[in-house]
Parts: sequence; structure tokens; C-alpha cells
Amino acid sequence: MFPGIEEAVLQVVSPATLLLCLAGVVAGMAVGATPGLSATVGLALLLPLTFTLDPARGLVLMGAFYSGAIYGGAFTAILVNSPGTPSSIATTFDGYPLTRKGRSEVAIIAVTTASVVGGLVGVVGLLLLGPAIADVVLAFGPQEYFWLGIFGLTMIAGLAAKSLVKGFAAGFVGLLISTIGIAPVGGDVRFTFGFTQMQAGVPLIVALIGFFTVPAMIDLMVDPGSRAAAMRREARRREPGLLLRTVRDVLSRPLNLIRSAVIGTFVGMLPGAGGNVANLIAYNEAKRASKTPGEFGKGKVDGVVAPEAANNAVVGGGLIPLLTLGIPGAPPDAVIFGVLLLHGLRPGAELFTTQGELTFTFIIALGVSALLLAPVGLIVGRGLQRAVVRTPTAYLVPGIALVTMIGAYAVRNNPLDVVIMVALGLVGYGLRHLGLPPAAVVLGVVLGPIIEAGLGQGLLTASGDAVPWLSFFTRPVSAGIIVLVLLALLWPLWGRWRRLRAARTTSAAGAAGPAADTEREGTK
Amino acid sequence: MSSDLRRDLICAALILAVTAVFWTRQDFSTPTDVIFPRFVLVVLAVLGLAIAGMAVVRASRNGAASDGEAPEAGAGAELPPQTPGMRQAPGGRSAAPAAAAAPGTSGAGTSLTERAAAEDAASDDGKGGDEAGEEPVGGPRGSRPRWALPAAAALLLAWAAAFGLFGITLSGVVAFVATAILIRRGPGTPRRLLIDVGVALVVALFCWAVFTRVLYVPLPVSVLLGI
Repeated sequence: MFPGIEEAVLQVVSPATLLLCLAGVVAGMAVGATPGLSATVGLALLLPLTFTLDPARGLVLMGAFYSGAIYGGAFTAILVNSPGTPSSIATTFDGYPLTRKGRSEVAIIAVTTASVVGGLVGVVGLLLLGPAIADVVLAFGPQEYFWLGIFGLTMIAGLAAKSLVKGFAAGFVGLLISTIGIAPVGGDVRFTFGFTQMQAGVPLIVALIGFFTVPAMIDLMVDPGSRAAAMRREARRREPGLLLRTVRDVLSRPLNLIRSAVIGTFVGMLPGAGGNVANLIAYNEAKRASKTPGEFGKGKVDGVVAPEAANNAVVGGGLIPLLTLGIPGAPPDAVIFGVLLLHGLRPGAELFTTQGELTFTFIIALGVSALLLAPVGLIVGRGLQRAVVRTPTAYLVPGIALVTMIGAYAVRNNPLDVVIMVALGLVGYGLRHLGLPPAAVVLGVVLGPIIEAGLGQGLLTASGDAVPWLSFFTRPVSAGIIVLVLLALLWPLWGRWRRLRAARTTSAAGAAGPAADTEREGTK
Repeated sequence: MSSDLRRDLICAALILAVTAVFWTRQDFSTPTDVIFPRFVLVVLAVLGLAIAGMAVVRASRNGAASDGEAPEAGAGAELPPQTPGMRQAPGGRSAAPAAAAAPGTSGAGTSLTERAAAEDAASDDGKGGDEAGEEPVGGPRGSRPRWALPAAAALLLAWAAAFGLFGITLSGVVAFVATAILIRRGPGTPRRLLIDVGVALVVALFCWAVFTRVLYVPLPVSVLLGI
């Protein structure tokens, strides 16, 4: 069934390959934890090094680096509210509140466990189901991407705790920001206000750092005492057995882990979606399925487990269309695609047969890298966590500011991006005080290009039809996603209706109680 | 006018203003490029009007309700509504739900680590925030002088603008020290200032070395220092 897998296993367990896996994971974690440096940038930096290695070892190094980078993005998301990569956006929602509660170590251990499980599920999906389900990817056209984006937008219902209208207003502000620059289909230049540097739009990383990190920095600058006592106590506290307790706790709810990992694997397969979307959808589904959805966003462990299991599963999932169809699932996969081509390897079904040893070496090494996340992450990640928790606020805030400014600059080597980042941060701070959740704005910025490209391309592909709009409703996969959208929209309404009904029943029983007592006494 | 009404009206006005500004900047030639931004602008305008309308309706309802209850409301009307299942902690702070905080009890779906966190949070109540803080920053918790927000915003904007003009090291060191001074609410002793400058130099040079020498990311160069 798997020709060459035995040789592949032997090659992976060789000390040199294991050392490469370790080096790749550590380097990837360092890059992933740096805001502004995404997994794609890191892989591109690593590309020249792979020329000196044989194809198998080059791919092993790239795969390990990719896994480490996706995982590393969670550290800064948890510790300083700054997602290291866009794949960790949703990790900030509960990760930073956990840090503020003095539970950052729990969060780091939980995301490590989730990342290992997510990474392994993605690899198993790639190994067992890859060729079989790759055809599903081909059924996804522009219309399906449009609806996938709309499905992502339904997450606003979960993010807008106080006002659904304000939540959607924030989401549409994000969509508006995403329309700045050159249009993805027709190429019109829009809303640049005369700045030629704005033609490429507002980079996602810049918006992420701006909306998440800058308000957190301002909070600490305005009210340094708000760095809770719990955080300072955590710096001095040693909790024996915390590691095992947290791992057991995370694994005690396998459904959340598996569901999120499966979402990550599937979304990873869809070209253009990747970890940016997968972590948001997984978070939303975890919240929707939870018995205590109200605790999400306030420091719930499941809220960091879901996005991290999903984004690490994307690593394996994204390689399914790449290795079987030659279609990169996510931007980092495009760099790995380049490595394959540089070494004369042609992706496709025959890659698994003619180059079985090399292909399986790569896939198994990805699984080993996922396992290595545990020891490496627990040592490096907890070390970083302790360093951040112990750093005085007066040095922590300017340190974060410096790194995030370099990160924003490094995206396009454009100083204007640094100003945009701070300006968006100030806007985010203001919006938060007006009741508009910045997370919903970021959701709009992430999903805007997917929705707009799907809409434009869908209308163009159906331009021969009498009513091109109908193509968005008549395709079977589209119809399936529309059902999911409707369910996602109606679910919170149904929950609210149930709560209202329960409250009415309780108050009616409360009102009827004294009256019934009086009646009983009257009959005695 | 209540603060909620004022906040919602400001929110609606800002959304409508942004929508109007972007609406006037539409200059598209491709039909497919028009649809999405125009749809977003129309929905934003509708949402802005909805926020304003709902705020006014809510305020008028609250006004009518408080008019009716005024004689018997008394001082109790000033108290915020208490969430069912929440207990009021000493000092007026609302503590975690009793079911989650109490040892030995667990709400549905509440994990072990979350219960531990709830216990931890409960143990915070009434103790104050900074009893063991190793750094005397910003005074007691909740100390927010009015100048702090504009100062923080101005400092970050100036830092961002200087980043491209004066390079990472010069702008980084100066802004790093300024931020530390702002957070401490003053420069402190000369020794403290010297330590701040030293730390700022180490951090800025470390970042510069990592990005330019290891990651090969070109950073803006200071014309004064050459790095």
C-alpha cells in the first residue's frame, strides 16, 4: 500500500534526520514567535539552505520548520496578545486572558498538547486519506470560497458578546479595510487616498499587530498597575504536577481536539484558506459546541486548544493537494512546492509510487516534528513564558513595541506600515471603548479578500449563464455550505430563545409560588 | 444624556462618517470591483443607523421606565444589575460564579485548570493588586492620570514616525527609555535612568543584530549612527 515506507522510517530515525527535525522545529518556533515574520517568510529564508542538502533532508528541514513556526505563533499570542502568525489569531481570544489571570503556563502547556495532537491528525490525514480526498478540493470553486468566507463571518455572532449589531458593524469595518488597494479580480485601485504605498492594501500582519498588540500596550502604559497581581504571583509560584494535570485536562476532552484537528486538516486542503481561516472556524465551533460558551473569551483552556489543534493540522492538510495535485494549500506550501520542483520532483499521484521513499520520509518526519513540539515547546515555551512574566512592565512594554514595529516593517520593508500599525492600534483602542470588538474587525480583514475574490471570480465564471448570481446557490457544495451558514446564524438565536423561555418559566413559577401558597392556606 | 447613549451615538456617527468618506472615493471602472465595496458601504451605513436608532429607542424606554420607578427607586437605582449566579465580593467587586469558584463543586464543562484559575482569582479578592510587586510602577492599581492616554498615543505615533527617519537603534533607544519613564510616571533617580538607557541599548542592538545579521531583514538605518 505504501511503497518505500520501511526505508522512509529507517531514514527518519537516523540521528542526522532527527537532528534536522529538532533544528527545524527550534528555528521555526523562533521565527513563528516573532510578530511580523510568518512561516512563509521563514521558509523562504531557509530555501537557500536546502540547496546544499539532498531532497529528502531538505524537505524534512522545511517540514519541521513549518510545524515549529505555526506552533511558535501561539507564544506571543498568549503572552503579549500579539499573534506571531495569522494562524494564531483566535489563540489571543483566550490565551491573553489566561495570562492576565496568571495562568499563562497552563495556556502554554495546553497549546503544546493541542499542537502535537493537531499536527499528528494532519499527518495521519495526509498519509491515509490524502489521495482519496484530494478530489474534494477540486469541487471547490469561487462560489464555494465565497460561502466559506461568509461562513467564517458568522463567527462574529460569537465574538459580539454584548451587541450583535455592533459586532457586525466591526466585521464590516474590517471588510472595508480589506478593500483598500488593488482589487483582486478587476485590478481597480481603491481607497488609497493618494498614497501609492497603499496600493498593496493593508497587510494582514500589520492589521493583526495593530488591533491586538497596540491596545494591550496602551493599556499597560496608561494603567501599569493593571498587570494583575496574579501574573506577578505566577512569576514566583511553582505548581508541582501542573504539567501532567494540564495535559490530562486537555486530553480529557478529546472531542474538542479531534474536531478542531479535522477542521484544520480539511480547511488546510482548500487552497488559499489555510491556518488563517482554520483557527477561527475551529474556535467558533469549539465555542458553539461548549456547554459553557459564555466562558470563552475570558480565559478558557478550550479556547486556546481549538485554534492550535486546527492550525497545526493545517500543516498536514495543506500538503494533501500539494503532494497529490500540485496545488499548494497555503502560502508556506508554495515554498515547499518550490523545493520539490527545484529537486526535479513532480507532485501528483505518482509521487507516492515512484518517489515513495522520499515522500514518506517527508510525511513521517512531519509526524516526528509534531511529536518534537512537546519537549521543545515545553522547555523553550515555558522558558519564554517565565521570562515574559518576570520582566518588569517598564521594560516589557517598550520591548514588545520595538519587536512589533520591526515585525510590521519587515512585512514589506515599508516604514509607512509601522505608522499604519500604530494608527490601527489607536483606532482599535477607540473602537473597543465604543463597544466594537477589534477581533471582529480583524476577522473582516482576514475574510474580506476570500469573499471578494470568490464573488468576483464566481460571477465571471458564470457570466455565460442567464442569471450569474444563481450559480452561488445551485452548486451542491455551495448549498451544503449555505446550510452550515444558516445553522451558524440560527444557533445563537435558538440558544437565546431557549434562555429567554427558561427565564420566563422561572419567573412565572416564582410569581405563581406565593399565590399558590396563599390559595393553599385559604383552603385549609 | 447617559454615557451609554452618548457612546452609541458617537459610534454610529463615526461609522457613518467613515462610510461617507469612503463612498466619495469610489472611482471604479470594472463592474466586478464595484459590487463588494459598495455592498460593504451600504451595509455599514445601515448598521450605523441601526446602532443610533437602537440607542435612542433604548434610552427613551429607560427614561420612561425610570420616570415610572423614580419615587421608590432611591439609591438602589444607582447599583449595577447583578448577573444571576454571581456573588458580590467585598469591596463591591463581582466575583467569579460561585459554582466555579467553590472548591469541590464544578459547573458543567468547567475543567480542572479553570477551576484552579477561579480559585486563584477568588483568592485575589480583597488583597489588592500590588502587594508583592517587585517594581514600583504607576502607583496603585487603577491609577490613570488623564494625560497618560494622550501621552501614550503620542509616544507610539512619534516612535513609529521616527522609526523610518532615524533608524531602529536611535529611535528605539530614545523611545524605549521614554516609554519606561512614562510607565514609571517619572524618570526616577539618575542611576535608574542609566540602567534604562543600558537596557534599551542592549535590546535595540540585539534586535538589530538578529534581524539584519541572522534573518537578513534590512532595517531602516540612522543617518547619525550608521546602523
